[in-house]
Amino acid sequence: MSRIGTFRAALVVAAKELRSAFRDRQTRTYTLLMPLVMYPAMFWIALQASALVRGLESARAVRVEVVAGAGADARAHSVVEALEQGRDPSTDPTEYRLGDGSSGAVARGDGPDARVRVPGDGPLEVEYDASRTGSILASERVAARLGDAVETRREERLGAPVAALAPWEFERRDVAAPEQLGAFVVSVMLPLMLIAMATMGAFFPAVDVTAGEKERRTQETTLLAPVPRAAIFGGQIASVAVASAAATAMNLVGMTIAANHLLGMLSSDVSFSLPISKVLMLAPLVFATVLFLAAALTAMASFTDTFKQGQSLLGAVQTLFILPAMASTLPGIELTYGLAAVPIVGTSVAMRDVVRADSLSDLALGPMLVSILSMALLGAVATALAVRAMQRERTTAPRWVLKLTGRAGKAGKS
Amino acid sequence: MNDAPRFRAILRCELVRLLRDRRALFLAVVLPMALYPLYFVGIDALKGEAERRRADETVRLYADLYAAPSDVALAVSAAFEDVENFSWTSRAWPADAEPATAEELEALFERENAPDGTCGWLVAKRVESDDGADDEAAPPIALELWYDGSDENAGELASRVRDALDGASDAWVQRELAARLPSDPQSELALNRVDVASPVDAAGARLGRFFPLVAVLILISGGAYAALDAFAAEREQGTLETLLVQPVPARVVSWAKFSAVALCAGVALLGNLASLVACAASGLVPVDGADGTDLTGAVGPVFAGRILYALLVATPGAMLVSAVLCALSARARTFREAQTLVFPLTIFGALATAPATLPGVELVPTLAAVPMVGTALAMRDALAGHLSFLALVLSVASSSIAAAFALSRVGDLLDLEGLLQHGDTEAEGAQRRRRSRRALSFGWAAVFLIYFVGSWLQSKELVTGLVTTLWGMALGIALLLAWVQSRDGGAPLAGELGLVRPNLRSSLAAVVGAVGMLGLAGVLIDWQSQVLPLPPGLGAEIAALTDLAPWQAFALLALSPAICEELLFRGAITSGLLRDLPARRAVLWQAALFGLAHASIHRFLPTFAVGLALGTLRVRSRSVLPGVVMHALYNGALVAPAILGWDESDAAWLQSPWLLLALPVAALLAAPRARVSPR
Amino acid sequence: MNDTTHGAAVVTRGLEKSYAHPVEGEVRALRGLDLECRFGEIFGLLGPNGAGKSTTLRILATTLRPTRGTAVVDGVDVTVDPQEVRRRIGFLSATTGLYPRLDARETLRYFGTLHGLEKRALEDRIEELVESFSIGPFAKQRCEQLSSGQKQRVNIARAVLHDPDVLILDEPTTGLDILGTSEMIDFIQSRRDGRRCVLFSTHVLSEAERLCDRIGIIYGGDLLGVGTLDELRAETGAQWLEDVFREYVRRAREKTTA
Repeated sequence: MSRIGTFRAALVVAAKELRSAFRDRQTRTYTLLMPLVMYPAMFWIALQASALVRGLESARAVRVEVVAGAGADARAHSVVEALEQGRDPSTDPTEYRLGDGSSGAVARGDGPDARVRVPGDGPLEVEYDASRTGSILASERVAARLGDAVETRREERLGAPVAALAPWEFERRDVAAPEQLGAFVVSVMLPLMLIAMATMGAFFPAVDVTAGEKERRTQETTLLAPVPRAAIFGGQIASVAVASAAATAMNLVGMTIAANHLLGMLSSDVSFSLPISKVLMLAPLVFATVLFLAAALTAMASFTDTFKQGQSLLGAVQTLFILPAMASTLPGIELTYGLAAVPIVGTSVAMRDVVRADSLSDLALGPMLVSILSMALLGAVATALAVRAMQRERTTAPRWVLKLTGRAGKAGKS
Repeated sequence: MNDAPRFRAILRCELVRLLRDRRALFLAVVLPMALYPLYFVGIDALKGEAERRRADETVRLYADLYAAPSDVALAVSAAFEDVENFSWTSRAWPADAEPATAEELEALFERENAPDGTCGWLVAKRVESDDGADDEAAPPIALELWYDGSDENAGELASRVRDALDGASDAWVQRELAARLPSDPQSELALNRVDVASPVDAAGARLGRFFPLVAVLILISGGAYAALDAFAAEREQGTLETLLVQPVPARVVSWAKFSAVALCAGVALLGNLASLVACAASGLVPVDGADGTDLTGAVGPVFAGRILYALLVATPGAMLVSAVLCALSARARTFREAQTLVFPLTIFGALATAPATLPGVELVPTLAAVPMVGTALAMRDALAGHLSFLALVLSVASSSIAAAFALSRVGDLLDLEGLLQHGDTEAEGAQRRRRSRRALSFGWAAVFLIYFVGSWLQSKELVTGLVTTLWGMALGIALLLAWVQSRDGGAPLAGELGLVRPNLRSSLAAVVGAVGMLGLAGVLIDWQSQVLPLPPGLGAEIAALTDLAPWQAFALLALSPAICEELLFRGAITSGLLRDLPARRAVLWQAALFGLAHASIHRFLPTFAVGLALGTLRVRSRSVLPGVVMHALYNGALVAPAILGWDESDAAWLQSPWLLLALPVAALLAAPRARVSPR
Repeated sequence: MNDTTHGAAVVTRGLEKSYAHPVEGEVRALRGLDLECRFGEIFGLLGPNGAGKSTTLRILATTLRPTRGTAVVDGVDVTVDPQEVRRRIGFLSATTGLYPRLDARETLRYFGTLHGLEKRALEDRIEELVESFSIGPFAKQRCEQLSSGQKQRVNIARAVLHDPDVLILDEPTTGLDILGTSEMIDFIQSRRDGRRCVLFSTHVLSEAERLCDRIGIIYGGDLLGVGTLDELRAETGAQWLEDVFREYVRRAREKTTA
C-alpha cells in the first residue's frame, strides 16, 4: 500500500472515531457546552458569594465592651464617644457599651464579641478571637471607627485635611494601553490554561480509543481492517488531538467571552482580546502541544485494559503535564534554547512571549522553533510508543507496569 | 428471615472485589496519596522561586526632581536608599515629552541614552491649582512615575517605588503632625489589636476553612471508585440480575453496597489525612498563622482531638456523599455514564462546602438545616472549638435525613424493572422525555442568556438593555421554542404559548392571587432579611428608572416582564414540560428556572414562589393570560412606591402578611370545577 | 385447561406486559399469556427474538412485574411474595455474568450465603457441585481468567446451588460453542428426574425437539400453541418442527389481518 493510502486510512479512522465520539451526548456536553457555560457560571457564583458575605457582614450585630483601666474612666467615655461618632446603624449594627470586664471571656464566646481595654496611658487594646467571625468583625469595626475618629479630630484641630500635609502626591502614569495590560495578564495565565485544557480535553478521548475500545471489544474489529496498523493508531491519536483541540478552543471562547463581557462591566482599565495575528502565531505552538499531549496520553492509556483503569491512571498523571505549564506564571524566565527544548515548559514560555510580543521582531524565533520541534519530536516518540504498545499482545506490556499494578503474576500464566 | 448474614456476605464480597482490583486501587488511592508530598514540594519550590526572582531583579530609574523643593528631593532620595537591587539616576524629563504608548516611552528612553534595565522615569511637577480653587487638600508637588505596566520589570519597579515613597510620605506626615498638633488624637485613640484566641483555636479556625472542602473532594473521589464498581460495573458485568434474583430484599443489597462505599470513602479520607499530617509533620506544608506566626506549636493532642471531633461531626455528611454516589451509580446504565455523573457531583460538593471557606458566613440554624452546608460549617466550628449544641444537632439531623432519603432511592433504583424502564442503552435514554428535555434545555439557555447577555446589555444602557432582554431575548426564545414544539406534533403556535381564552374564574383568581402574592413576598423577604441580609447598595437599578415618566416605568417594569416572562416560562416552557412530566413537576421546574433567571441569590426565593403560583395558575386555567394579569399587578404593586415616590411607611401595607389570606381564595377560584364523577 | 393450579410448577393466567418505549410509545410485549408447566417436565418456550420469551421468564424470575394477569411459581404468586419465589427458583440467562475478581468457590459461597444455607451444609454442597461439574481444577482461579466453558459450569453450579425445584433458563445456549452447548443440554437432561421442572426458552428448534417434554410456541406476545411435539404435529399436520412453527405463525398473521 502506498504512503498516501496509509495517510488516507488514518484520516478515515480519525473521522470515524470523531463521529462516534461526538454522537455521544455526554461527550458533546462535556467538550463543547460545558466550557461555554462554566466560566460565566463561576463568575456568577463568585459575585453571589461576595454579595452574600457582604450582606451577612453588614447585618451582623456585635457587642463591644469598653473597659476602663485604673483612673481611666474619663478616657473610656471619650473612646465610646469616638466609637459612636458618625456610626450608621443600618450598615454597622454594633453595640458599644462601658463595662467592668466581668461579662465573660471573649475567647470562650460567653462574653462580648470584642473588648476594648482603656488604660490610663498608652495605646488602647482591643481583645478579639480570630477564630470567630463575629469577633473579627467587631475588632475590625472598632479599628475602622477609631481610625475615622482620629482623622476627623485631626482635621478639626488642623483646620485642614491631613492629606495636605503630605510632601507629594504619588501618581502612576502607566503608558500601557488597556489591551497591553490585558495581554500581560493573558500572557501569564493563558499558556497554563491552554495546556491544562488541552490535557483535560484529551483525557476522555484517549481513554476511550484505547481502554474503552478494549472494553467494548471493538478493538479487534478495528485491527482487522486491511490497512497498516500505524494508520489506525495514527488516526486514533489524531482524533484524540482534534477532540482536545475542540475542547481547548471552546474553553478559550468561553473564557474570552466571560472575561471581556463580565470584567468589562466592572472596569475599563483592562481589556482582554486576542488579535487574530496572535492566534495565528499561537497556532503552531498549540498544534504541537495538542499533538504531543494526545500522543502521550494515548500512549499511557494504552497500557490499561478497562475504562476505569485508564481513567484512574490518567487522572493521577495529568498533573505531571499541567504543573510544568506553570512556568509561564514565573517572572523573569526567558526563552533560551535550553529551556525551549524542555517539553511543555518551553512551550508555555513561548506562548507567553507570543501573547506579549508587539511585533514579530520581538520574538526569539530560534528557541520557539526548537520548542515546537521538541514537542513534535516527543509527540512522535510517544506516538511510536503508543503504536507499539497497542500493537503488542496485552501480556507484553512493560514489566514495571505489570508489577506496579499487580498483574505480574497473572501475566505469566495467561 | 435473618438478613444479617446476607448483609455481611454482600459487604464482604464488595470489599474483597474492591481490594482485589489492585491496579485500580493503586491508581485511585495510593498514587494520589503519594503525589501529595510531591505537590506540596513543587508548589512551595515554585512560589519560593518566583519570589526570589522578583526580589533579585535589578531595576533602574530615571528621576527628575528639579521641580521639587530641596527637602522633598532629599526625602525622596533617602527613601530610595533602602530599596534593594535598585539604582536611580537624576535626569531631566524633556519638556516636550508626553509619551502616550509603551512604544513612545521606550523611544524616549532610547533617545535619552538610558542604560539597560531603566524602565521608569519619576518626574516631580508643581501642582498648579486650577483657578485658585481650594486645592489646599492636595500637596503642592506631584511625583509622576512613567512606566509601562505591561512590562514585568517596570511593574516590579513601580511597586518598589510606590512602597518606598508611601513609607517616606507617611513618616513625613507624622513629623508634620507632631510639629503642628500639640496633642495628636492618634495618641488618645491608638489601638493595638490583641488576638486572644488560643493557638489551638486559631489553628483550628484556619484549618476549618479548607478542611470541609478538601474532605468532600477526597470522599467523592474515594467513594466514587467503590460506588462505580458496586453498581455501574456490576450492571455492565451482567451480575446485577443474578444478584437480584437471589432471595435477598433490595434494601439489604443497597445497604450492604452503601456500607462498602462509605467504608471505602472513609478509608480514603483517613489515608489522605494521614498523608497530609505526615507532610505537615515533616515540614513540607507550611503551617503559618494569619499574621505569619508559626502555628506548628498548636499541633498536639488537643488539636488531634479537635480533628477527631470534626470527623465525627462530618460522619452524616460522609454518609450523604456515599449515598448520593450510590444513587448516581445505580441510576447509570454504564460505567462510563456513571463516571460522567461524578463530575457534577464534585461541583455540587465543592459548592456545598464553599460557605465554610467564606469568612463572613456563620453557622446559623437555617444554614445548619441545609444538608452538607450545615455539616461543612459544623466541621469548621468544631475545629475552631465553638460548635454549639443546637447547630450540631441540626446539622447532623439534616445530613442524616438527606442521606437516608438518598439511600431509599438506591433501594428503588435497584429494582430491575425500573432500570429496564430507563432504557437499556444511552441512546434510548436520550430519546425518553425528548420534549420535556428540550423545553428544559431552552429554559437553561434562556436563564443563561438573560443573565449573561442581558445583564451586559443593561450595564451599557439600562432602558434599552431591559427592553432588548425582555422583548428580544425572552420573547424570541419563547417564540422559537413554541414554533419547534408546534412542529413536533404540538398545538398551534398560540396554543404552545398558552394564548388561550381563559375562563372568568381564573381571571378573577389572577387578581386575587396577585394580592396574596404580595403578602407572601412580604413574609418571605422579611424572613430572608434575617437569613440572607441584603448587602448595602443592592437594588439601586430601580432608583435609576424613576427619571422616566410613571407610565413608561410601569410599562418597563410591570407590563413588559409580565408579558415576555409569562410567554416564555409559563407559555412555551411549561407547554413542553407538560408533554412528558406530571403537572406538579412541570410547575416546579419552570419555577426553578424562573427563579434562576433573576440571577440573584437574594431574589431566588421570592421569584421561585411567584413562579410556583403563576405556574399553578397556568396549569389550572390552561391559559397564560391570567398569569400575565397577575404578574403585571404584582410587579406593578412592588415598584409603585419607588416610581410614584411614596413614602416607605405609606407603602408598608402593600406587603402586609394579612394579604396572604387572599391566596387560598385565589386557589379556590382557580381550582377546577367540581369534577365530573369518574365513570 | 383446568383451573387447578395445585401441583403445577408454573402457572400464568392472562399475563400482560407493556413497556413505555421512548419512540414507539406503549409496546405490548405480552398479550394475555396463559401457560402451565408441571413438575417433572422440561418445558421449552420456542419463538423468534422479540416474541416475549425473555419477558415471560423475567416475570417468573420476579425481575419484571406483570402489567396485568397473574403468575404463580411453585404455588407462590410472583407479585405477592417475590422473595419466596426467588428462594424456590434457579435462574440463568445468556447474559448472566460472574464477578471477575472472585474465584469459583467464593462465588458459590457468596450466593449460598445469600440463599441462607447453613455454613456446614453450604460447604458440603459446594464440594458436591465442584465434584459433579468438574470445577476442581480451576476452582482457585479468579473468574476473569476462566474460559467461557469453565465460566458456564460455575454459572450452572451457582444456579442449582440451593437445589431449586424450578429452574428457569433464558436462552442458556446462546453464545456457547459446540461442547458448551452439549454440556448444557446434558445438564438439562440430567434435571429430568420426575419431580423437578425446567422451563427454558430458545430459538434453536433442534434443542427444543431433543429436550422438551412439551413445547410452547410464542410469537408476538401470544402463546400460539402448546403440547408435546406429536400433539403439535397433529394439530398442524406438519412433520418438522420448523414447519409446525411456520404454520402457527402463518395462522396468527392471518388472524390479525382478518
